[in-house]
Amino acid sequence: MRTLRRSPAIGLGLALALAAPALAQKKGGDLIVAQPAGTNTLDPHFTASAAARNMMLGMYETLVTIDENASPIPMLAAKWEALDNGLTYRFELRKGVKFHNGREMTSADVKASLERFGRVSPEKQTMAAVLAVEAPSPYVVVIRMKQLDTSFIDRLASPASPPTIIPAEEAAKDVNKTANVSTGPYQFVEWVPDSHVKLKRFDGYVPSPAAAGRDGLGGHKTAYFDTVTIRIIKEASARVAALEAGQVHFIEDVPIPAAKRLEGNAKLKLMDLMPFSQPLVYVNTSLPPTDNLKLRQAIQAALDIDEILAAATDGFYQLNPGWVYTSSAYYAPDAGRALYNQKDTKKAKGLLTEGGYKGEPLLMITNKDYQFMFKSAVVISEQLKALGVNVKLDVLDWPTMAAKALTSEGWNLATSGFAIQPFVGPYSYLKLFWGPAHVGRVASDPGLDQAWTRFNSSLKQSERKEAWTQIQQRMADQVYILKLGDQGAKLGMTRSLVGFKPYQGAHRFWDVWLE
Amino acid sequence: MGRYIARRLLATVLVLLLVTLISFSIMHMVPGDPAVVMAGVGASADQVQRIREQFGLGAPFLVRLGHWYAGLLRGDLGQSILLGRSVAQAIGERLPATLSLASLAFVLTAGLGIALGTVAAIRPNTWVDHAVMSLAVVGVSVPGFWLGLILIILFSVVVDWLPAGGYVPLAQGAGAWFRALVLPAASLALLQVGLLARITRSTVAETLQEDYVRTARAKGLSTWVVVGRHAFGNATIPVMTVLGISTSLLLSGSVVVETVFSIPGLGRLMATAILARDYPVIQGGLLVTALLFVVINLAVDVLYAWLDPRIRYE
Repeated sequence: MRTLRRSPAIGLGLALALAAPALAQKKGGDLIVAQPAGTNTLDPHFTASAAARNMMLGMYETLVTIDENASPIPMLAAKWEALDNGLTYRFELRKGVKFHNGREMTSADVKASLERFGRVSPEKQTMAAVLAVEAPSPYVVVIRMKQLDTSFIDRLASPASPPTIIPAEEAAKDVNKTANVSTGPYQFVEWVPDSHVKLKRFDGYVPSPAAAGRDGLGGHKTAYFDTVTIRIIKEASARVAALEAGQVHFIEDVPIPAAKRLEGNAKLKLMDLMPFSQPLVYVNTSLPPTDNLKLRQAIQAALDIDEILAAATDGFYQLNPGWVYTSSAYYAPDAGRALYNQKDTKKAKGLLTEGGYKGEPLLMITNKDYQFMFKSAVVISEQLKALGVNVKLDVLDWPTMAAKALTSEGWNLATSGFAIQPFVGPYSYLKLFWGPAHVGRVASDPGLDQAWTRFNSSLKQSERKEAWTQIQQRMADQVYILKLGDQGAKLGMTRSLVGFKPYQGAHRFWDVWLE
Repeated sequence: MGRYIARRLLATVLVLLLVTLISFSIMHMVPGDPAVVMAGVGASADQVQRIREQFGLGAPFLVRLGHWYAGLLRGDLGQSILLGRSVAQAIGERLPATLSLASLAFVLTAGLGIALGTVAAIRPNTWVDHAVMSLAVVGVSVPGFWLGLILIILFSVVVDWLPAGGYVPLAQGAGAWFRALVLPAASLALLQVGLLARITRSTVAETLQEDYVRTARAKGLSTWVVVGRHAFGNATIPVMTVLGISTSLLLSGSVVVETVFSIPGLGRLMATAILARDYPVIQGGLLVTALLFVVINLAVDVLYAWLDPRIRYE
């Protein structure tokens, strides 16, 4: 059966006709996807992993969401406005939006969903500044704030742990007790933990009339597949074998050596998700010897980032000194650039002498659960040893390493990574780069305080961007953390899969079909 | 015999108590906690702390231990920290896959191991014997992980006969169930086939040297009757011992094979739980695994007495 996307506005329809090449979208088919990790829960307010996002974002929708570059756009809201200098937000809801149970979504559902999100979500701080959620009429939601939170809409739109809109009766239930019901283009069929999640097309889906086509996690979405099954195949070689055997249509995270081999397979195609994550090194500024700024600067000056990332990513990386991806509205390429990837051994040795470094042991922790962290730690420790730093490398497992890196003791350098943070933008670094939980264990820094305060007090993006640039520069000057670069990921799929576009927010299986 | 079994079952309680106590203590000593795993890579200390509070992960060791045993007495294995369901439910969902896999692997092991070992014993130092023993050496030496991947490439990619992984419950059709499990069961069984074939060969070969076998042969009985009716009976005790050990190894070996073949079984549940520090699942999983081991050992001991009338337990 052939269907064409229809748009209510003639102008939009015309624009679409001009912009889109003649692709014959086909309804039907059962898509099978394989990814390495599963999810522990499908509770719409209780997930925080990339694996869960791929499974859920086809069926769960939010009031606002993010576009192709992670800027907020309306989804279930038709529009929103900030009133009273950001102390009130007024959302107008789209009319006629149906839940998977057939009932129409109204403001009562939105209110109940946001309140539940504020009670149970790992990201419930989103609602910390909210005084009340009100539903004055069926299609209007008003959120009153206790104080200004300039990141409120960003957080509300974030897919990291999204404030999904679910029926009010479901929102009354405890964690993991809700039915998997929302308003997305696909609806829930079954979930077998550690095995698969199965979705089917929701024929009652009401796409957003305002958009011409897919845009980030929002826009005008169309589900083409009859069903989508997301299988968990942990072992990379088994995933590749399943794709080659034609038993799955799409796989995530193809190992780079396997990708080179698959390029020769006429039935398959590969796509790059670049960037996919940011490998980095936490620096503990509260424990000797890395409490010494000169030593930290020496380490920063010595690192040869190309060498580190070539090993850590099998050569699939790009250099980027910034803490957000290049597509972000906040991208500040020059802040900290001069201090990035210096490969300057002479300068580093000078800084070591200046700082009075006497060969005190420097403890670097890493883990083998995430191979890029392990490989980058090995190369970094060799580079620092060559400089004359007495590095001790401690290989732990991920839970041990992660728990240790959240304390001030037992480590000087720790390899880690960010994936969703650099995509969704600076607000996601608030708790990481500022305050008592600073990743560099920084007790206080007036320079950073001032910049974050600026960031938090303006609703104007230009002013916020300036503040963010300052923050990025300060993090580099003080070597509170070391950015390595942007790492890519390879996605493998059958040639018959049409319309797919890699996206950092999640893999989108709407506006995609099988030929 | 009844009293013996009762006594063994009583000892089982003690074994399980020790196993759970030791595992609880070890998990307590291992650093790291489920909150950091749940919060994900790059999470802030703040997020981790909120998750910790939500799940009451701060309670002292003895309090948690007490709670766990109190729950166990009520038949409650507790709630998984990460899975959003009870431990009993999580294990119940995964046990059928592991038992299916282990059963099929057991059938392959017992069938092939005994048959190959016997054939090799009857035809010692012939090419048959050499071939079987070489296969046994290969089986013992090849890592199950590697073998699994090779089987996937051969049977799924090259010839496209079997699925590359996944599990189909028996309720959805025996054919699909068998097709999904035959490769993982084969890669799990090959190691045990090697062991069992070797032990069967040496035991049967030894028995064939006995006087009563010579007598049987002198009566003019065919080789197969001599082996089947007279020699094999006496060879069953050592074979049974190895088979008992093999069964335990098939269960524990499922951790790796379930990962390679994406089978949602107990082994994978345990591996994930250990990596994520999901303490209640680790405890519950170990309890169930220990119970299975104890039952297998008891079954082997009881079978001894049944197979060999000379063996009597007090």
